[in-house]
Amino acid sequence: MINEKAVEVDNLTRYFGSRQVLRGLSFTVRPGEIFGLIGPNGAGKTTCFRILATIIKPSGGEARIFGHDVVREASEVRRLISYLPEEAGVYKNLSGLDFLKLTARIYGGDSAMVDEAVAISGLGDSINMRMGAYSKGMRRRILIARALMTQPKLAILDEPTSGLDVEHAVYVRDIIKHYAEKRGITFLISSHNMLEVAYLCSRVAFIHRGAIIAEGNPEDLLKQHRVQNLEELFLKIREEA
Amino acid sequence: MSFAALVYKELKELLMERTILIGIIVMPLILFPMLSFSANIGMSAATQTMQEMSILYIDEDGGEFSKLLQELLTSYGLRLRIINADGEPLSLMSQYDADTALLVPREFSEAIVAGKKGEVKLYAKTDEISISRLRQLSTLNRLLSLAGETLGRELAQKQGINYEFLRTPLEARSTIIIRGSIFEGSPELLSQVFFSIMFGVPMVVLLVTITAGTVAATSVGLEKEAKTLEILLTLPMSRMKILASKLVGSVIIAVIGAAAFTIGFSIYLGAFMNVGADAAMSAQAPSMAGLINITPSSVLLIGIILLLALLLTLGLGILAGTLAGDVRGGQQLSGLFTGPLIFFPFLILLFTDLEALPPTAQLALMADPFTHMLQALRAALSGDLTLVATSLAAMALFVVLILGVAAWLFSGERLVTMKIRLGKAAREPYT
Repeated sequence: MINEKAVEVDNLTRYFGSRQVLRGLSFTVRPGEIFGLIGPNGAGKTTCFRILATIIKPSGGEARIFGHDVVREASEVRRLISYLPEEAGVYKNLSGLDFLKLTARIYGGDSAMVDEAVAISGLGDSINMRMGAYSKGMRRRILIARALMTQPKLAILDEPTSGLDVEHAVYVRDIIKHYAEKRGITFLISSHNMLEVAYLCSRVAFIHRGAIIAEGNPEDLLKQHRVQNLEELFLKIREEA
Repeated sequence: MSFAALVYKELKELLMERTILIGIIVMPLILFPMLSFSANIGMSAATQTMQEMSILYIDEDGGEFSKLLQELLTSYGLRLRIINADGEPLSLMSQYDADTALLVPREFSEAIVAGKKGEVKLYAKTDEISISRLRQLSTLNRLLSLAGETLGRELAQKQGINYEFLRTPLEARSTIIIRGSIFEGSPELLSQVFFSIMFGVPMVVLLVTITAGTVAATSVGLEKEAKTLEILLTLPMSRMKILASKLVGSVIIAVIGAAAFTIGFSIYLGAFMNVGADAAMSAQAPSMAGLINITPSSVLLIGIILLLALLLTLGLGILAGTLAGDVRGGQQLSGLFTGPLIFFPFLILLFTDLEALPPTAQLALMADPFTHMLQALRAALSGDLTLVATSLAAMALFVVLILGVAAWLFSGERLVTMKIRLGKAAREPYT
């Protein structure tokens, strides 16, 4: 379907008790692109991702993944996506390989799927270690491998390189770029690292207090607002908002 | 295939979790044998010191029955140092460096022959009161009573009197009819059997069920604590399948834990049975065993009751794990849910029947699912099939209700957003 949208978020709202976290959030993600959702802590990025990943429900509005409603067609949505939460952990008593095999069995995959995941992780012999003994960077690599090994149509990655050292962060970014370009996987990511966003994302949306305040191609946005970089851009549009 | 993979993951994570591995599986296998070992050492030491203990036998009497008493005590394995001397017993004990003495005073034999009671005095010195010393002295006292009975029998024989008849001229026989079945035995024996039914079997069942609840709560708590829950919930499988894998994993661990407890507890009990068994207990054992008539159908019924009880506590455990924020919180909440629900009816029904309670208390207990479990167990062991059926039906209703609530909570977002700590509920505002 030529006009199909990978993600379509329309006037999404979400309350936690009396506190409104999302205030009419709307944006779209095109198939095959790497889309960045950018905003400060507490802006509503994680809540938005959780709704798209069918973990929580919106209080109002609609969200669709490749045409499937995240509330009414949650099962179909789960077959299309991979979600990596920001602080995702690992099963500390399983080895990395056990974990990847478990994922392959759940998705009906074969040994080729596991082999590819092992390659994505780049963990070498450490793949046989208990994941409880992994460093943060190794854990992130194995989780990225899990997210991509199933060839999802959409990968939702919340702060994929948060807290990683340079080596692990570069590795993860390259993997994301590779899978978007070579495998056509659509990525929806959040990040505080504007350099990373500029390197990875073909389009971005700035979220502030639960609403989108700017959306578009990073270069176009910089030109439009006459600023040097995305950090300056965010500060400027936040003031304007 | 994917379900089996999830159950495998549950087992591997739970079995390697310290609170489960150590608390539920390893500890019973180590703790009970250690307790048993300690008890064995203590009791063996007490028995050994009894045999090695030298008792100063101060024989002021020197008569026929004093000699007979010496022989009897020696035949029981006691080592007597016999002295035929007058004097203050405590001084004699110091003189002969003895910490235990038996004084047989003058005219002991004469008094017995004259139909009066012969008096024997036991003297014991001790620096501290210890279990082994007390055990020594109580054993010595018991052996003296035994010797007294034997002396009485000898005396009666000499005088041509029927000792056994005079000792107990009255024989009480009891016939108790239980639901049409005749039980020929003492109420005391029946009481022992009743307690073994109402305490022993339910204890094992309760243990398994409480364990299962804790394991289920841990299973969910682990996912929250390790922050693996969100990935799990976005897998392309239904929440019910995920929930079922946790239930199956928890049941398997609970059964392993129950087996570990049973093995450990058997070893522990064995220590007492070996050392502490006496003739009276041995004599009663066969008739007790005969009364607890465990048939294949009663075992099957107990199995069904156990299964329903497991599902009940697993549901409560899942509820606890869902509401709590981590493993410890889940385990605490699980204990709070299951503890009172299990132990209130257990303790009340241990001392009375449900029918004997006031109507309001009966209603309150009937609202507790574990009341029906205890009623069903009692009925299964006594063969009351009507009560078994009604109790199982009530349990099944509670299972549907509790698992329904657990499934509802598990399938909703409260699984992710709710966190209860020490009675304080809070929704975590993820943004």
